[in-house]
Amino acid sequence: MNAIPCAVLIAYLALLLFLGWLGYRRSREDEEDYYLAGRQQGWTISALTIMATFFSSFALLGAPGMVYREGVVFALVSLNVPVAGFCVYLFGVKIWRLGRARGYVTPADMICDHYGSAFVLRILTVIVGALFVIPYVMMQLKAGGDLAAVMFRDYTHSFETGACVLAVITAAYIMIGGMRSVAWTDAIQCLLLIAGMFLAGIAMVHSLGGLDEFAAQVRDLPEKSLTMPGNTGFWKLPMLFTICVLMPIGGILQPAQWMRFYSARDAATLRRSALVFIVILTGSFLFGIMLVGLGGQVLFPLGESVTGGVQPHAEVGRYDQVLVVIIRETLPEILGPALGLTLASGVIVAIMAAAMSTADSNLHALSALVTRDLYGRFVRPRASERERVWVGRLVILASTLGALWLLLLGQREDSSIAGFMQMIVDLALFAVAFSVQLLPITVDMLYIRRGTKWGAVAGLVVGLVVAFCFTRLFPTLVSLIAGQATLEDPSFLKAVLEAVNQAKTALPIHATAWGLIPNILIFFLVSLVTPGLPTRRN
Amino acid sequence: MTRRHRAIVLATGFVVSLLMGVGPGVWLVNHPGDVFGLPPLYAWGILWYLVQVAIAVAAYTFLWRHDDVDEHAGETSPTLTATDESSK
Repeated sequence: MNAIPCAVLIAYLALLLFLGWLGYRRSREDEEDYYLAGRQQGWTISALTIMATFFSSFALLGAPGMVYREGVVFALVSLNVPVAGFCVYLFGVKIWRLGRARGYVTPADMICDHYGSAFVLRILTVIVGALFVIPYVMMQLKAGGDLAAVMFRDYTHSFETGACVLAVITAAYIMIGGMRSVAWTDAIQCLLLIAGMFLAGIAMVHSLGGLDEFAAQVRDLPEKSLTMPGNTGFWKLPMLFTICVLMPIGGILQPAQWMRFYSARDAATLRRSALVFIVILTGSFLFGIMLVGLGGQVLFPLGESVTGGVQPHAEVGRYDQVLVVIIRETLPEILGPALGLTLASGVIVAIMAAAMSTADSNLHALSALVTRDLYGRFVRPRASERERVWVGRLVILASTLGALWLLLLGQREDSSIAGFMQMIVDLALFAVAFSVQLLPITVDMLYIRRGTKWGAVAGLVVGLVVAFCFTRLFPTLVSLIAGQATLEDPSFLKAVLEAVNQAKTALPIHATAWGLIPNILIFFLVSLVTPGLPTRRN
Repeated sequence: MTRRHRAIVLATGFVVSLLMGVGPGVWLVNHPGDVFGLPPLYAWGILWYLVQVAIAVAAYTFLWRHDDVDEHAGETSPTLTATDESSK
């Protein structure tokens, strides 16, 4: 690897640590400052940090990897971003208003206060947060590993080293500076990743000889790459539609975004953020990064696997690595060493920015959930704010190490979860299947105000369980449990798995939707037959 | 047109754009070929992105920006707000 990308990367990582230190200098040792930056974030920082948290390694590695595997159909998934933008307005402004009036810090604060549930809903909300955050952080660390695996291909443990470096730097600056550091670094990272997405697309088109030549070569791709449901047949219309509508809602209802709404200075900040979100983010997908996956299919044609499906070109290795392979192999060759390496450096930093900006926000949010909603409520209610901030720092360290351990475990070829962790997009879809289950509760709290505590609890539990049964991890879990000699009768789980498979075949919608349908129904029905909330709350 | 009517028109437009962009409308262009040099599915995505951007800009300009003013007016003088709405 040339010295230019290395130097740029080191400078970038040093800048992040500097911002962490700067955030620490400005901070106070209280929770509201550590978790919400004193509720004083202006619209520029708010817009950038909301966008950076939403955009992750999904945008820089996952999306081109999925377009490379499936073809043009995945480009339509760009249209999920405007849904998220409208949710920033529809949910964000109301969440901000209630948060400011009543001093909420975490999502559970608002949910438990509204439904008058001190324990059950708080625990459930923390579980939802953890189920979202852990896989989301894992996929960011995976991006660091994938990047290093291609850039330092000659080294034996490059994947592990890359993931570890990304984990250590990210955990360090959040632990030092809290929300203020996270938001400042997010702002810089957001600008970098948007620039990187456009840059990668432009470089791809340029490297294939300009727009006309690019379009001509893309037109010659196999028919499956140009039409729905794509090369593997996964992206059937119901799947495409449910993912495009529900995935962004799950992305906006994640704990980290919820806390960003609380931390905004005013409602106008969030309204502007929503508009910027819709216009710029969707554009950077459609006119930038999606072109890379298509160009990747031209440069590195897909092969045929032994099962008759598709497999990545031998030089690409894994689908998610297609962008890194292109910038490493193709750009310096086509554009010359100077320009090629400069562009490559920019895109590498953008990939790191995309991964770190989401990992930091999620780790920071998980720290708030565990510290405020569990430790501060049930373990040591009399703990000082200073103590809770320090516990929060330890939670960040522990959850980073936990996510890293799970990632490295899943990378082993003999691991039972290796297939589940093969693609970044799959991990993202797994995570949002849980966070989107907060939708009925959120809509009820902010708009309808007819639901009851037990309706919310029952709907959420059913939604989470059903959604999990339709994720890719459930078959793995069933086969693991069925293989245990101590378990006497795994036939019930096998019957559930069979029913799930039949349902998937009959109606190919995503796990988010499978969970949400019974969630809404149960919420509605149980709310009809259980006592309503006191008038004060409604 | 009142604020409520504008909101309904824009919300309907957004739902239609979703149904066309990533819903059943995709069947209209689900074939190889080219539209303005791009694969039809890609060009379709860009078209509905532009529609959604137009809706978002209109929503910001005609609805969202006035939220604070409307709320403030609603708190202090509901009658004035109603008069304003009917005169628009």
